Formats: sequence, C-alpha cells, structure tokens
Amino acid sequence: MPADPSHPRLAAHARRQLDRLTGAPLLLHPEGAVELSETADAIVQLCDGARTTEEIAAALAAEYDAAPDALHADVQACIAELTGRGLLT
Amino acid sequence: MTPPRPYGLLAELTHRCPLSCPYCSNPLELTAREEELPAEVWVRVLAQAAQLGVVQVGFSGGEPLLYRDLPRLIATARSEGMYSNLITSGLGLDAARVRELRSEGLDAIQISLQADEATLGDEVAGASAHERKLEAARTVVAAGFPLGLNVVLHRRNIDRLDAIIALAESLGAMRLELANTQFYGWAFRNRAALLPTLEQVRHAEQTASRHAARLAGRMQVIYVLPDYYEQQPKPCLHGWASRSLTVNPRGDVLPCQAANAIPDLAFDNVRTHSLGWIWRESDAFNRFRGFEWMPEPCQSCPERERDFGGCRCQAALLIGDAANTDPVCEFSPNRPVVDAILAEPAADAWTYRG
Repeated sequence: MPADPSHPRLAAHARRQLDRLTGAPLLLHPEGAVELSETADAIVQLCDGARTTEEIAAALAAEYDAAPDALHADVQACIAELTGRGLLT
Repeated sequence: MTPPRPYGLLAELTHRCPLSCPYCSNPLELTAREEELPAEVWVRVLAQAAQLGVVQVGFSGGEPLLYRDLPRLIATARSEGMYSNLITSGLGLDAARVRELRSEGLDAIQISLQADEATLGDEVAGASAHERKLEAARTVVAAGFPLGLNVVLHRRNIDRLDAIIALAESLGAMRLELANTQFYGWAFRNRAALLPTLEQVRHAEQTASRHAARLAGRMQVIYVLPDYYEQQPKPCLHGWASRSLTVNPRGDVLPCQAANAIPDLAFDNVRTHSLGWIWRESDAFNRFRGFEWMPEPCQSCPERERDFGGCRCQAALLIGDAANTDPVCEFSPNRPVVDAILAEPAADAWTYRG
C-alpha cells in the first residue's frame, strides 16, 4: 500500500503544466505526463504541504458548494493514487 | 490517417561516452563528433517538438554532459514548456554543473549505476567510475534536485538487488529503475555473458517487489522485466510511433532508440525535414503504425490491443523480419528461437563497446 501523506505536496520531480495543444492540466514527471481531470487538478493545486486531506476536502467543498464529507473519500482516493505513482509526497 | 500526437522526445546529443558498458544500447556504428548536430539545429528541433505536442524531453547520449551547448538546450526545453530529464553517467557532474543546469530549468537527473560497489561497478563500466558516480549522486541530492537512479541488470549484478536498493536508499534517490538488459546492439552481442538464469530472474522479481512495497511513498522502485523469460511480449512503445520519438546525434529521427536494428528502414533527418513532417509522413514511422501491418497470430489476437505485437526491433534481430510477431510471444511460431538462446551456455567474458 502506498503511504498516505498527512500533508500532501507535489513531489520534487513533478511539475504541473497546462498542455499547449489542449489546455488540459498535466503533471509532468521524469518518465512522462499524467493528464489530470478537473477535480484531480483542483486537488493537486491544493496539495501545498500545509493542508491536510480533510482541509483539502473542505476547501474543495467550499469551492464547489458541496458537503466536505461527500468529497473526502474522493479526495483521499485521488491523493492515494497520485502518491502511489510517485507524484505526490 | 492523422497519427496521435507524441508526448516524449529522446534527444541523443552525442554518442561520446566515458564508459564502455557491455550492454550499451547505442548502435554498433557510433556517430563521430564531427557529424553531431549543432546546437542551432537542436534548438529548432526542440521548438518543433513542443509544437507537435511533446511535453517531456530526455537529454541522453552517450554522455549528454559532453555536449557543450547542453545548458542552452535545457533552457530552450524550459522556455518551450517541456519537462527535461538529464540521463547521465554522472561523470563530470559536479556542484557547479548541477547549479548551472538547474538555473537553466532542468527538472530531473537520472544517473546510471552498474553495481552497489566499486569493484564490480568499475569492471562493468570499463572505467574507474563508481565512486565518481556516488559523488555526483550526493551532489545532486545536496542541491535539492530530484535524483533518479538506473541500474541495468544482468547475470553478474542481478543477485545483488538488496545491496543496490540499500545504496539507492542511502543516497536519497526518489526513484530507482532496475532494468533487466534488453538485448539489442552491444547487449545482443554479449547476451551469453549477460543473460541471467530463470532462477536469478524470479528471485530478483520477488526482491524488487518486496522492497517496492516497503519503500512506497519514499522511493519509487521500478522493475523492468527481462522479456526473453516472458510468454507475452512487451508492449513496445505502446505501439509503434504512437507516443514518442528519438532524434539521434546525427539528426536521424527514429520511432525507437533501437530502430537501427531494422536494416530496411530508412530514417529521415531533421536537417532536411521538420519533426512534424517526419512524425506524420516518414515511412519509418508509418510502417508499423496501427494494426494493419500485423501478420498472424497477431492479426486475430485480442492481445494485440495490449502488446501491439511486441517489439519490431526484436523481430528483426532474431528472425530477420521486423513485420513479424515478436518471437518472445508464446503464440509465435518462432518462439523456439528465443528458447534456443535461453538454452545457450553462459559465457564468462563480455566484449566492451569500443
């Protein structure tokens, strides 16, 4: 199981950038690029090393006018996946 | 048919290299320094790559640090919005160099190691290299740079994974790629000395996967399979000319860095054509795109969507026809060719790349 960081932030070798051709958000890393969904991109931009997963869910909930509890599982899954791929730490 | 856009570019700046590893993936015929592309052409190529959709550039070689204008090319990659990774032996990478490359916008560095200790490491590299590599790795980490390590595995070092992984950990690497030798070029020539036994391979797989789980979230451990021992071929390039391209030191554009292994393939050159034209029109790129070129058993095989018929270069090298099923495949009528190689007696000595 990938470790679940308490205060996730972008890995030192990952860089977020908008795709020149499509405008889609990408996470670039040494071996390639991961295209982020709109939600994943919003989550990644909140992963600043200061916020906890709960705080990220709360911030996202405020932005999308949703209940934090409903979002928490999705946020956690997204962070776990990107951590497992070495993109968040 | 319009091909999909490429995401990655491998920029092989030079074939010059201080090492002479017996598994070198460069072609048997190396490009001389006088024939290397000048920086102005590389700058143009990088701009064309970004226009085409490339978001990721690997600066490689040979030893890319020996290419004098490397900093300018890194700056170009950055200004064109591409991620850049330096794929280096580490020789010549001191603190000043690391700072310079970083200030030009380099994103990551990957250093090769040959073993966990100097005696074997230097023997494999054919040079006094191991300690200098460790020094370079420490310098990279001390500068706050993300460090990747790559170790090519073969029968002489594959039993040392515990120590290799411990070394990578102690160096503070973010990523460790344990890549079994793929048999092209010099490696193919030296296969009898390099090929591990099945027992070694199975043990290494278990060791790598145990450490990968232990280190999850701290260091990424990637294990690249030795395909001769597989029943299903590797999904080479995720399909020919579908995601990436390679420009070699003289400017030839290849769908794959080993594509020189296919004798009847003619490569177009960036001195005379744009990268976009080559990506769309070059015969070398269109020859094996999609599924139409496939013979049986690939043509009617559902796995073709997953493995794309395997590796064209391997089909060319082992059975003399690139337009054939990769002989690694258990359904290939040529699988006995691979089994015969696996049954060959091991050799004690290898030939160094000259």
